[in-house]
Amino acid sequence: MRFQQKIKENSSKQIWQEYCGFMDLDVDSYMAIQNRLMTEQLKVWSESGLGKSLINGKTFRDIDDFRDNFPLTTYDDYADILLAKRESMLPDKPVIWIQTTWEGGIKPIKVAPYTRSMLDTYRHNLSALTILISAKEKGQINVRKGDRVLYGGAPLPYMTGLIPSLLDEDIDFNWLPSNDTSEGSFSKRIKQGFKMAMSGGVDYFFANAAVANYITESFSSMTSGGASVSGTSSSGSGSNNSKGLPASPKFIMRYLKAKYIAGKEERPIYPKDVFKIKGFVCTGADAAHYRERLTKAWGIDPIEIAAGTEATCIGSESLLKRGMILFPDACFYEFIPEQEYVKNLNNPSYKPQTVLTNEVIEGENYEIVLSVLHGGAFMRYRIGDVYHCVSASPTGELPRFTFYDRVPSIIDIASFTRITETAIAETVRLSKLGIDDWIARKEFDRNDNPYMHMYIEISEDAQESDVISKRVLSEHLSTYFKAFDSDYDDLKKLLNMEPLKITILKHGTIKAYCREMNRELPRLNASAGDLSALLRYQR
Amino acid sequence: MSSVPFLFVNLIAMCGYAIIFVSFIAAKKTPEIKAFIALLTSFMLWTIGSILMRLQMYPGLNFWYYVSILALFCIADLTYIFVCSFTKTKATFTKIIWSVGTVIILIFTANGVFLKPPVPVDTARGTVFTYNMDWKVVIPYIFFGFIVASIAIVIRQKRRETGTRSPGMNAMTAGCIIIALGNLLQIIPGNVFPYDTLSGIITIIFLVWAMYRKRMFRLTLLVSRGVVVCASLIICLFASVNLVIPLSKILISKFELSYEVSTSVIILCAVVLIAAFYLCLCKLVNALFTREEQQNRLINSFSQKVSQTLESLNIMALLSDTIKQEIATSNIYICMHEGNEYKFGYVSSPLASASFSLRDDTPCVEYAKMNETCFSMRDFESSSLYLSMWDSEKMLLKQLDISCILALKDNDNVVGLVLLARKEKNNSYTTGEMDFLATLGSISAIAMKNAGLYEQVAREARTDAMTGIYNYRYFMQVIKSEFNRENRDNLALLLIDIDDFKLYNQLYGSNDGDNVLKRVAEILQQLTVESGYAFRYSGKVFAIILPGYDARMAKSLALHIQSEVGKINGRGIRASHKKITASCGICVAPHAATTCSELIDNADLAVFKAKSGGKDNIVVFKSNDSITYNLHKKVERLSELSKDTILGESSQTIFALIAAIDAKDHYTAQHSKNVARYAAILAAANGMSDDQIRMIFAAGLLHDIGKISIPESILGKTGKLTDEEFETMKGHVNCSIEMIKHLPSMDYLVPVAVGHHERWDGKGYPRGTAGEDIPVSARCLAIADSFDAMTTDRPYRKGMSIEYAAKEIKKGGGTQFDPELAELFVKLIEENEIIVQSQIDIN
Repeated sequence: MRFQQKIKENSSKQIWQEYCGFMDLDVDSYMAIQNRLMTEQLKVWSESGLGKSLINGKTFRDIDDFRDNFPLTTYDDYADILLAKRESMLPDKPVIWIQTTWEGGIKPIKVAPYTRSMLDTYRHNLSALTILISAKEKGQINVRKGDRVLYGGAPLPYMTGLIPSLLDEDIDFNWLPSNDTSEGSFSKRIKQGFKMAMSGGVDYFFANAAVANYITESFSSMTSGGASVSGTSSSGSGSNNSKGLPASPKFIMRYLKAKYIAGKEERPIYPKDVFKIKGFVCTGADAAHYRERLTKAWGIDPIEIAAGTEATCIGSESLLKRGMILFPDACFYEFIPEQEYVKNLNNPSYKPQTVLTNEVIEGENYEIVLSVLHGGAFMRYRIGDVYHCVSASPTGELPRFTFYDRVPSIIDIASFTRITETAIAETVRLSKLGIDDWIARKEFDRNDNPYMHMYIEISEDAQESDVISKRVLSEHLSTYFKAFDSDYDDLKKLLNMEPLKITILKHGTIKAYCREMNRELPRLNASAGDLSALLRYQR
Repeated sequence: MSSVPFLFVNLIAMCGYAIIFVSFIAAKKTPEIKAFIALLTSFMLWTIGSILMRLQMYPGLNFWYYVSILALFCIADLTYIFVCSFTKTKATFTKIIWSVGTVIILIFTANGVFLKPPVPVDTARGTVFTYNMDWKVVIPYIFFGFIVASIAIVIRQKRRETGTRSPGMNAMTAGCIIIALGNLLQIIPGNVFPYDTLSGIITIIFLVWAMYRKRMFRLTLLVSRGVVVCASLIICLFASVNLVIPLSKILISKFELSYEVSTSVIILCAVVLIAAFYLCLCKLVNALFTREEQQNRLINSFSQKVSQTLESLNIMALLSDTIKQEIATSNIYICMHEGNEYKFGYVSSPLASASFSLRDDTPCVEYAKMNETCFSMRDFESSSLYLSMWDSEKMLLKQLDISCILALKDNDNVVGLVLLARKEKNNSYTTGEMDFLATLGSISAIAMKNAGLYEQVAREARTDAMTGIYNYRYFMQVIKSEFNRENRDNLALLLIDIDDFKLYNQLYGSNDGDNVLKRVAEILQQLTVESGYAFRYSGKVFAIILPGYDARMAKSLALHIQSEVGKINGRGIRASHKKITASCGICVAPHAATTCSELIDNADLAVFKAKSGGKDNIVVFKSNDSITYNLHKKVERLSELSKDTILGESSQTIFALIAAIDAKDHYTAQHSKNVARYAAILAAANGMSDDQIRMIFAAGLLHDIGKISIPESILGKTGKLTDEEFETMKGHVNCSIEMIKHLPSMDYLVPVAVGHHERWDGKGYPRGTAGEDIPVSARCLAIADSFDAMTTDRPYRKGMSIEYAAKEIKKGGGTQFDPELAELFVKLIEENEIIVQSQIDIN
């Protein structure tokens, strides 16, 4: 039975219980679900060609034995089988292969197999998500057939592209733009969707946080060409003028009403003046940074969800309570405590310990480790996300998490690109700019927009021979980053973001600092303390 | 307005209301029932008032008008109260508002503010009631419009919350819509039909149905055969009253029938109509309302039947049949708890085949423990527990098209699961059906538990505790029953002896040895699932009974078994262990055995030969067709051969033992040799095969070897043995067995050695077995042993004469000895086929 039919025929209580009942589980019941599904997954995975190739003839008595004796994995461990799409080696036949970039384009794309069962679970959890984002109180079902969804996610073969297709199996939503619209760039699709929203209204808004912010900031200009919502006109391109907007009576009514409200409050038009949305989903690494301004503009708090190419949608928060609860049936979750992953970062041969969902501690940060259930390929897989545990009740309530950041070895800009040390080193090498030494950090500007800040030292030879102004360096490096990493390029093209900032350090500063401190400085994401000390040291 | 349809409809409605009212008066007064009775009363007063007003009955038109209109004006508010009760909506404030408003409206109405009583006007068509309406009549209707809107809001909200599938929700919605529509149709100008009254009775029926669906009362309270008879009579009476005159007119004018004939036709039609109507109504009532009675009958019958059986399979079949009689489901699968899973045990359709099991931690079991024992898949899917279902479990339930699950719960233990497939026409399981299933489930759970305990005891009695396959005791039962089965075809017995098992235990420990035996048992069970029965015959010997198998087929199976047994070691932790081999002996009746014990003996011999022939062999027993005329020569030849073949690797040990006993007690050594020879000749004369003869010879040599443990003081005592000494002496049999058991490949002689002091009449020792239960070889040995004991000189007495001894043997036939063998032995003595040792010594 489709979700849509269930809404019609079943009680709200029954639907809530079916889709969102997991939120009321105590941690023991939650772990019972996790353990049971993991037992099946471990069995089918161990018997598959992929599993056998990774466990090297070992057998595991149970999940604890598996955790004790099977190491954590990364995509490199699966690459030879998955990149060749050797389906016969997998635990279950995949229905679709979802892809994403790998190491910012330095390596080939990553692909992840999705089995039918994974898709069913994903769909079920998406339906739960629609309930959670629209419910004003527990047990309320606000989802209706024909609801309009302004969709700002990337299309297939990216993971977010599955969302409309999967939800279409369950409920007839109106997608803005239409789910069938596969033509046109991502940017064009977003604009088309927005036009449709203006014409007929919108019930849900689903987008990457940066995209949502871009649409929001462009809102005023799209409707009237006026000032942007948050005043950050730098990122609002204003290129999407109102030429293409339909002048339907509905739109005119909306616009006039919005204009009246905005005029009364002496401010530009906000989306909330035009739309009364039921739910707002915001994805991406920097969602938290955009949250406040998006709430202000849309009149509704965006809901954070956790998702990933390899993992499907794994968690969601609700309007009722802050912090995500992880879906118990999507993946088996392990968590590496902060001190453990930092220790592992400094010493890659160190095997970090993991804890389970019932062992996390409130206020701590954890790198998440996933084993994809329902015939998934990835086991004890490090996706590179760090979560902050906002609550872990000793009374047995489920722990809640918020996305904290990517692991320090990755610089994630607006969830569009993930830049690694290798990618930067390769760019620096190919640019032949005479960069002798460098470090890079993810930072946020005064408007809370993310960017990568590179602190570089130019070799003394290059200082003499080349033009090495900050602008030239920035443009040069940007060109190489764009060439390497199409996602990086999209930041500029789609969102009009400038993700790179350069600071030139006095030659030899980094090495001297390291000598002084008697330790290595991490190339990526050095701590704020280290950076301040470095800059002070330079002076 | 014509009064005919008006009265007709109103009277039917009145009767209907009255029947329902009387029935509900007896029902338990819940808030819903109270609200319904209030509403029903209002409908009744409205209709009564209306009828009596039209009839201008006492105390007069005005009185009945006010009764009717006041009751009518109460309906909206009472409907609201009923809807709120039915949907469990509090809405106290709104209820008060509408009730107060209604009271005010009623006060104004009673004072004739909104609508004055009608004026009767006599016309050619009869009396017509004319109302003088002005604008004020709109006021109450506006007010009622608000109440109707409130009702619509409550229903809409509840339909959203509870869904359209909520029991009774659709019926209640339909009832409310119908009453609203009926009243709207009533105000159409020129209308003469009482749509409002008709919609009233339909609404009440819908509301009753809604309450029944919600299990707010039992319909058996409402409907009985008496009620059905009354209802059919009333309806037919009104139909007749209204149809007699028009029908009579038609018959007289159109068909030109006389008045008498037309009257007869009408009476006949009325009788047929009443009968047909009654039958139809009864059928409808039986189909709709007497289901509970039928369910009760089925439950009683099921309860009686299951109490008379102790077989799980029977109980499962009975349960399935009972469910099938009541519920139109396409298939029923029953799984019982065994070990750590729910194993498929029964399917209702004879054409369906299924083989599956569910782990006992399957979430549906936990769900059943926490909720009702009978639940729909839909409800289960809505629970958080469903999240932990394995994909394979979901797939299985989907493939079987399971729509409802009944857990057979005994206290907190779920002893079984009944999986019910989707109902025909894809209907969902009703609450009544689930209650019925739950009752059956409770009865079945207890019956299943008892049957399970009984079967467990029975199973344990015939199962070998270590290997889990059948034991020796059950082997004897099965082989006898198979052997004596009527129209029996071939019956093959295959004995499998694990080679060098003692050595294996010594090398790797008895724990590992036990594991090997368990694995062998598993192999045998797997390979004989369809073809026969596997047993643990003795320590390391397994038996397979193969009905219908010939020697070729049995040998093929033996080869397969050998191959599988050979794979037990050589991998994993047993990679470096000694390879496990097995020697197999086969005997097929009726070709090579005419009695059951012969079949066993011969198979025994075949396996003995297989072991003697270098182990890891398969030997099919073949009968010896002719008896060699010179038995003595034959035995000599065979006994010579036996030194190498039968005794094999143990020969050195055996002869060393014989030498030791010779040194200790010369008599015993010579006695053993004599017994071996006499018994072998007797066996040969009895037509036994070469292998049997060899075995008996070897057993003869070893049968008293246990005397090595008896003190010389007892062995050489010239006087009579004391009781204690005799007991010690008797112990030599067990000593012999213990010693033979430890000789490599000689354990086959144990039954012979152990049986040589048994007596045909069962009074012997050590086991007291009797008749043909004593192995034939042991019976031969017993005669030879006694004969030699009698004819040999002992320190305390001189040897008896051969004639005397032969006579004693003959005399002992049927009591101490096998009568046939005793006679044969005596004959052999008389014919000098057996040359007695004392004669040899003399010569």
